[in-house]
Amino acid sequence: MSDVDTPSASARPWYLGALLGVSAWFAGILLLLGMALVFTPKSAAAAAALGALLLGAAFGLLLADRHSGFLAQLGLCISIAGQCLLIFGLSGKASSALSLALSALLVQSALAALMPNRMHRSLSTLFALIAWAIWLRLLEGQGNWGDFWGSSATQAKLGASDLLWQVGLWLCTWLIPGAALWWLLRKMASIGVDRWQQIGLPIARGLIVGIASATALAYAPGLIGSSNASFAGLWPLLSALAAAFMVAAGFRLHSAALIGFTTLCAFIHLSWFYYDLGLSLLMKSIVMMAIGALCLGARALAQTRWRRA
Amino acid sequence: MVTPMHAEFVPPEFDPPSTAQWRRFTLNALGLAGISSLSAGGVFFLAANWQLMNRWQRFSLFEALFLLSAVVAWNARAESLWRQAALAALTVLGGVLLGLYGQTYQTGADTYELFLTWATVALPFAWLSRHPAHWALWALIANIGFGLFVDTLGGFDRLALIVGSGHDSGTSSAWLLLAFANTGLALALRRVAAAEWLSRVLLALGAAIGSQAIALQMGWNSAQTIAPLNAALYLMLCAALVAIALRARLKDIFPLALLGSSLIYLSVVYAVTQIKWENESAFFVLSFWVLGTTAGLVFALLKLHQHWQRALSQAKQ
Repeated sequence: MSDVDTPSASARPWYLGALLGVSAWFAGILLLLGMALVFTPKSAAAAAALGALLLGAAFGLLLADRHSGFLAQLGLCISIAGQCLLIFGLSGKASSALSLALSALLVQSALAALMPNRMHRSLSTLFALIAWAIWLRLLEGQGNWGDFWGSSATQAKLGASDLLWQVGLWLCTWLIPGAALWWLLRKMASIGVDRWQQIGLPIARGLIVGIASATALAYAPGLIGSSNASFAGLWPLLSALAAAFMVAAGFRLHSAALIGFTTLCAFIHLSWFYYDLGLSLLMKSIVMMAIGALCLGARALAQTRWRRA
Repeated sequence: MVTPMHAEFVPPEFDPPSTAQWRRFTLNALGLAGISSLSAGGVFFLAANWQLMNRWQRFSLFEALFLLSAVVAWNARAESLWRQAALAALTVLGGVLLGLYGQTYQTGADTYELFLTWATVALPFAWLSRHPAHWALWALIANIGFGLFVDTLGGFDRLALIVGSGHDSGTSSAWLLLAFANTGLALALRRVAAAEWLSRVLLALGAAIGSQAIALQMGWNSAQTIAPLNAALYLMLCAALVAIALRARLKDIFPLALLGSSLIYLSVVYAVTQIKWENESAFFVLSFWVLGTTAGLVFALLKLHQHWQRALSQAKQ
């Protein structure tokens, strides 16, 4: 798939891209509301058909946009409205959280691969990861919204002795995207400059942002305020570790923005971990100081060894 | 010989960091994690034992820590991690001591006075550190102090800065002054801390506060109008952004992007208050307005950016 982002787009300052993205989202939601009022799809199939039609139009606009930003902007906006309608249509009934998450995962994965726009690819990758995390969590439970929002059944499961199960679920959720990112970074040179810039890099960025933040985005409602969550504290800790690896991935891509964002995510996950840790304040403080001393000790050791080398 | 004209473009990602760069990155990351974890652990440790200590012990502890940090900062090598950490500790402990004093002796001071005094006490430490992160911490303390001061002006819900339904012109003027203060600070720190990102964060903060101050007065509540003084202050803020964009040694479109975004945002707020929402076409009109204005802004800024880049490369040659 040849991409249509112009060379000027690659030289575009990041904040202009962010401005385009935010405004496209806002405009897309307005468009979706307007469409819903005017067309009012009577069934899931009609919504899916309308969504697919809009996505087709968005694809055309993104493909046609070679010199101006307006068509790409319009394409992104139409795509957002189309995605919402298609996901709603494919999921069948809106009350089934499991099918909604699966539809979102499939639609976003397809869009990340197909849409000829770098920002679209990054955003779709991020949303696909969030949908993936939610889907697995719902799959583990009964597939109801109650599980997602942290019902008592889920809380009991988090507090029970199935620590290994929780670790396994976390690894299952994040090792696959992590492996995909690893593969992309290793195969960068063989992918080729053009394909890397148009496809590889946007997807890698989406994966880095997603792995660093998606646990918080996808699991926040269920974990915040959980009273019986000494094992739930394990998830934020693992996520903090994942975010720390993503800081390194950001460094590998020479991206200060990614390093800053993923560092922030690591801090958020760590704060979450301490909040959820079922220990007294005194014990928490001792754990923190021990970790701090370990980090500084490791730093001193590494510095000494590397100096000798 | 491969000249720049003939060389193929190679993305920076294709050049992996060297072993030395990876090592430096690892050392920095471990240092940051270690210091923040130790500091947070220390604060939590004190919080856990707070009730067990009497007034004398509390003051002695923090004053001893303050003195210890001062000694470390004095003796450590300039630019070393220890010096930076000690100066950061001095900044934090300065606030803790002020808070402890206010709480113990019930001085009756407002919270904003605590934060503004803290900012004053911490200023020399930030100046000595010259580290962008330290300046960012100082700017945060000063902004909270000034924000709390505006909050005391009355008739204003703290949350109203984000979701409020209009407020009096005096409060708006105060927020606009805070916007100016951040813009000025951004300019000053560009020279002192030499950190482009911090300067941009403060510029963005100033533009956001200024825009929201106007939006809250004119929008979300169509009965209100903008006071002439506030309109003038906002126009001056816009002029300041233009001046910063044009006068910077390396001309920068970032302030112009902020200015454009602010104007688009205010136009949307105005439209939202004027549109009759029972008409479905209003959604489409507003959607296309947002798209069109943003695309136009980005197109114009990109052209300007390319023009300035060309001029810069010609000047270098």
